[in-house]
Amino acid sequence: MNPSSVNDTTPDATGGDLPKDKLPRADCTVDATGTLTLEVGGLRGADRPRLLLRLRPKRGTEQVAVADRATHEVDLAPSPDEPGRWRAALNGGGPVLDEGRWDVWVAPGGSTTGGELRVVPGARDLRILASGGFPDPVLPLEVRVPYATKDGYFSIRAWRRPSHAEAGDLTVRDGTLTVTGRLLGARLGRGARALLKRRGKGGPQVETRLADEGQGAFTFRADYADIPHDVQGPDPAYWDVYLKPGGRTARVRVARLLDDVADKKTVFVYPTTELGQVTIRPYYTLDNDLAVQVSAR
Amino acid sequence: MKISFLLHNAYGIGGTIKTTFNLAGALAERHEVEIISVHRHREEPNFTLDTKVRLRALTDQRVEKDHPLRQRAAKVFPASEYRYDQYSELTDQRIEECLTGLTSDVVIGTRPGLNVHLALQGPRGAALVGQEHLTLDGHPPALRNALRAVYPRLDAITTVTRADADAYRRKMRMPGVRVTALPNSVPEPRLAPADGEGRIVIAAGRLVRSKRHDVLIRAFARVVAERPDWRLRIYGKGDEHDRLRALIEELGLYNHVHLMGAYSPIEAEWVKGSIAAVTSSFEPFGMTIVEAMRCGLPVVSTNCPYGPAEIIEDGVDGRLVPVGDEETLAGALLDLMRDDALRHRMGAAALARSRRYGPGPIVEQAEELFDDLLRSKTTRGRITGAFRRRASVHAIKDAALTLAFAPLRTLRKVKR
Repeated sequence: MNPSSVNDTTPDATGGDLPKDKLPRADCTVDATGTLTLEVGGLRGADRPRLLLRLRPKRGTEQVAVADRATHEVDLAPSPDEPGRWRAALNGGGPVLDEGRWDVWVAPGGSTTGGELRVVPGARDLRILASGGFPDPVLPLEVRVPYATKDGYFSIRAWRRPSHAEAGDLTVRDGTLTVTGRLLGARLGRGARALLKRRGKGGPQVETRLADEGQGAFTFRADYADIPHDVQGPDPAYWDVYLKPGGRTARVRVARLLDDVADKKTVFVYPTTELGQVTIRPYYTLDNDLAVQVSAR
Repeated sequence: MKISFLLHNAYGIGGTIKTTFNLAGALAERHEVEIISVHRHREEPNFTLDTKVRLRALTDQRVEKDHPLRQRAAKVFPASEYRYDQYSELTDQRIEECLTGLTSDVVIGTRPGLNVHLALQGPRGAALVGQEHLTLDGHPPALRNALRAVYPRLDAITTVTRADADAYRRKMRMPGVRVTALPNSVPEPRLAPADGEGRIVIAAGRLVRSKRHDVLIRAFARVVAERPDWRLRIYGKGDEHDRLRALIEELGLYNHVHLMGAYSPIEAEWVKGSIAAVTSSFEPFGMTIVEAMRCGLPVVSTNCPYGPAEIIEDGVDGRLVPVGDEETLAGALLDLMRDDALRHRMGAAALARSRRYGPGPIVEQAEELFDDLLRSKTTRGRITGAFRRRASVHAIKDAALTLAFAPLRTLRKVKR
């Protein structure tokens, strides 16, 4: 396993010892309204089962006991299509999921002994997200992408942002990064800029002009030569990418969230450029935010 | 009936594993079925196995890595087999112990080396079936000779294509051995078929040379020049990953071509696409072709030996193009992109015509074969005394030969 990956293994006591074929398995679908529907099977003897969504502690933070994690409970209803299966729809009316990774559990209830069980993923029908048919986003933007963790459990990645700049195609040519995208939840005004800020407290910033392509679409170019690399500073240095829509509007993170790919980092990969004493490449962070990595050669 | 499959490694990823799981799961509806995995290196298999199928392993790399017998070259498993390096005296012993103790009615080997074990050590009362998931012509001559020596002792050989079955009948002298094609089966997808409206081409398979993903990526450069709204997703992992990544960058396709990594189950990925592409130089069967068709995708495939031409009818439910010809491949993809009606028609035909690979039809063929074999076994039962004696003479001869060759093999292993 990639050591830099998110802490995806959860050796929790409850249900963690059961082999996967004894755990409940959930199929899921995202429909054109953005509703995520889960259908859980393998819950023999369950009575009024509930779905539990538990926020996984961030990588590098202290371990939190499962029972102490932020948890949302959702009632499961019998599936109208298949007896013995249970269904829950997560949409605007359901729980508000903060940004992060939400592990999916079930509390079976009824005659079942033992406690809560982790859920393993079945078929995930995310074709709506893949086709670019993401429904017109409602602000604040709420994105939920169900996925299989590295150790094979069902989890949901969630983002919740008051405004959002969705990155589209990126082009790296002649020492320049060109980013196209779409701004949601804020309006591009006069003096809109793109901003690169070096990660870390008080990190330097670089601004660049931004072209308004109409209806929220934008393009900006970042000249790599304008990104200073401080030999005394961190190496590699990570520069996070934002938009400043103009006026007093708060800056907006540039990210790629509106499709079916839960982890962009290894799938959307861009060329590395050598420039003087450094190499530079744009990439998506573990949270699918756009950033630029600058390292000494 | 009681059916045992002997598999190299049920815990890995690959077409043979997947199809064995599929067939075993489908047979388990009516029979007692187990999979015996020679190797094991992780807790759970990558693919989902029907809970009715029993799975057990003969060796476990996690706890037996340093077993002294692992250091000693295999003598029964043929040295000319592709996986010889992963076999040893330990596997020789464990497989023999296992086979002689079996009470199954049917025992099925799933690769040449395991078929050799089966032929030499399989329980004589059982129907012994050697499955060939690769092809006879693809085997090196030394392996073909090794198989020629012992395959006549099997009751049946099944290949995955008719073309390969023909090759066995023509080139191997195996009197009394049934040779028949038993294609891989693909279960009915749980998801609704693709609607053909998206703008994604999908390829899936291990990232290895023989899949020629490089040709697909080059062809896609031509496609993008005309249809920049289409994307290509390549699912799978393998040794070619970095080389393919470099090619994508060199051609400036990093916004259009994505290496997606390994996914299971893959059907949820097929339905995101509108066209599937297969560029292999060699496909003994072409499991991904059937999977894609069962999800309603027309497949553009190379016409490589042997599978694609037996699965796809060119121009009806997909397209067949020459191996390594990126221009023709790009043309075939563009034809389907330009013409929505054609794409939808071929997708619907693919869905309908791929039903013959469903577990139902394939299991019927398998059951019929097993019944036949068992029937002729019992009618022959009375006269097997003579056979047995002769067989044991063979066994002694084989053992002597094996011993004679053993030092040679050891030498080869050291030189590697």
